[in-house]
Amino acid sequence: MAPHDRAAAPGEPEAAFVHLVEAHLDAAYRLATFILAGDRSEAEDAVHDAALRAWEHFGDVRDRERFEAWFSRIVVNACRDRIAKRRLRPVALGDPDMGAAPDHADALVRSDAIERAMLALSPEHRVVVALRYIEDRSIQEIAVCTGQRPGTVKSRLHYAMRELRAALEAEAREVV
Amino acid sequence: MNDELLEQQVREIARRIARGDAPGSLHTRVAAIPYEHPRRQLASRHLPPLRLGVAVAASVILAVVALLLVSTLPPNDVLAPGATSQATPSAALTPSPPASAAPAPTLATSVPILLPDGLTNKAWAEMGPLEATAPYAVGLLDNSAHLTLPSNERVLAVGDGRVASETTAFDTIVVRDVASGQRVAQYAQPGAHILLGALGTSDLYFVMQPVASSPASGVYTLDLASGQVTTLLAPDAGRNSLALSPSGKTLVSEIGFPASSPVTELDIINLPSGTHTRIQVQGTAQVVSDALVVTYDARNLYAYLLASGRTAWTIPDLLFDRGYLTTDGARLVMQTGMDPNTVGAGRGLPAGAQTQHISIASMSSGSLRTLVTVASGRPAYYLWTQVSGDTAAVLLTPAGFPQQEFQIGGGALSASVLDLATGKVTPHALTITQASPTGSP
Repeated sequence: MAPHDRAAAPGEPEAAFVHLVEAHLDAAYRLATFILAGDRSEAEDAVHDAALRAWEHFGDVRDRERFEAWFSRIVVNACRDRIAKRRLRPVALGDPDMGAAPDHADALVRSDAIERAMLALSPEHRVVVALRYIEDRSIQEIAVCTGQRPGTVKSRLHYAMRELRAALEAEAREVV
Repeated sequence: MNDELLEQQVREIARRIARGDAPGSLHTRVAAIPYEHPRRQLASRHLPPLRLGVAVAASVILAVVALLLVSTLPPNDVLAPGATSQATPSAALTPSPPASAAPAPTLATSVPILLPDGLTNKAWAEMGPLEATAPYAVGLLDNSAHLTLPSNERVLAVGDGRVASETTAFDTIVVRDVASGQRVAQYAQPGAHILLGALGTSDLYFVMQPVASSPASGVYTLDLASGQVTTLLAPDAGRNSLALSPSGKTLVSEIGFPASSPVTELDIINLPSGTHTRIQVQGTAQVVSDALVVTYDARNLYAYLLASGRTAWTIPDLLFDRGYLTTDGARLVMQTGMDPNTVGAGRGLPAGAQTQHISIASMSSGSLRTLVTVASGRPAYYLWTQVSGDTAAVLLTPAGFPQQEFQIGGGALSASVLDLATGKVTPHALTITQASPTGSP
């Protein structure tokens, strides 16, 4: 059992809910930030939407040990909703918040190429990349979080990585 | 590039894009959800018309009561940037209910451990072991007393042997003496939303939205001896942080939620004179002395002169994690990191390396003295600012938040002590236990 996933004391659903969400809030915010292409303001609103939805259905949660996966799924859906409602602006390179350095070392050029490609991925590809590489989830866990079959998750990861590699190789050709 | 290397780079860059913890505003908004959206109200769409009508009528009555409460508060007092005014330290708010209204914490006492010089009389407050009923644990560094707060309270501020908490309804503050567990002061403002707190020796300063549904918040002080609450700044804007200088003479309140703006406005209150100045800075406020405020914008650390708002110094390109000022306000002890892909680029760090430093910055010049460097791959430290002092700092090892350390240690924290003069770290110098509660005071 994960340390945060204690059962709520009887009669204290509010405290138990806040406690559980607080324990997973930073991870949820990072997940949303990536899926929403680095837009932290949108990410904050998406996580808030997700928390509100989670509270509405908190009484349905039978197994608090699985709260994290359940909440991640709600966060992913809240991000999808926001993407669907409006076209999100990718964060430009050089935005101070993204920490790009004024240096043209090879490693930095490579890193920038991948970063640009990552922010240009389709939202569904960003979702699987985020869950795999930020949250270190297994294919099975990603399938649970996204409501997709494991085969679909594998396929999306494969195509996302292929796009990232292609971007990297294109960058290398330009440098040469 | 092989698959493994590509995956490694993707992982690093994805984490860099997503890096950062949830902002304080999100924590506040989420923590309010169960109380702003009671589940029985959410279910009201299923109520029959008569019950729904009663619910609507009740809401209207509550709104009217809230408006009446607001009308008793002082009017807004907006200052233009850079303007100076007298604060309004005389507007008394609703008196607190009898002190017996708050539930009692559980108190445990034990024989104090011997502390190194400079670390005496330090109190801490952290999320406790989660198997405990109450989420917040409070204690003295010498282990002589431990409080477990009632489950409906969360910590606002800790300092000078006292802890201030608010109920999860966000409208009541309780200040307790940690050693005895006794209530020192209590304040309630029904319908309000108390957001932030900072403890001085004789006062609790706090940010409050007088009407929970309105983002306009003011700055107030609760006199711990008399229980009197006065308004320092009338509600005029959303406020994001509150910091008190070590001398207790200067209070800084950050306006708005600057995550979406490169410029932040800070209200500077000179507490002895009651004067108030507003300045514009880059980044968010971290610590304040009586002369300078230190801000951080996720890349550079800045110090601004309170008197003029001008930049005193800048330390570029660092990852600021946390820090505290020594009691004379002259030195900033801080934990920082360096990521070779961003701020450390061009400094000869190997790819993928992340180093961590515990350093001291001179507040007058910004010059840095690094005491501890932890190389990539080695267990990093957590500078426990609440209990660190002028001559020694407390470091938790391995890196983790105290809450996690409590989990790992089964209710005990192992801490190292850093001598700030020599840079010598004494590993596992302290064991901070969380004794079992023995009764209510």
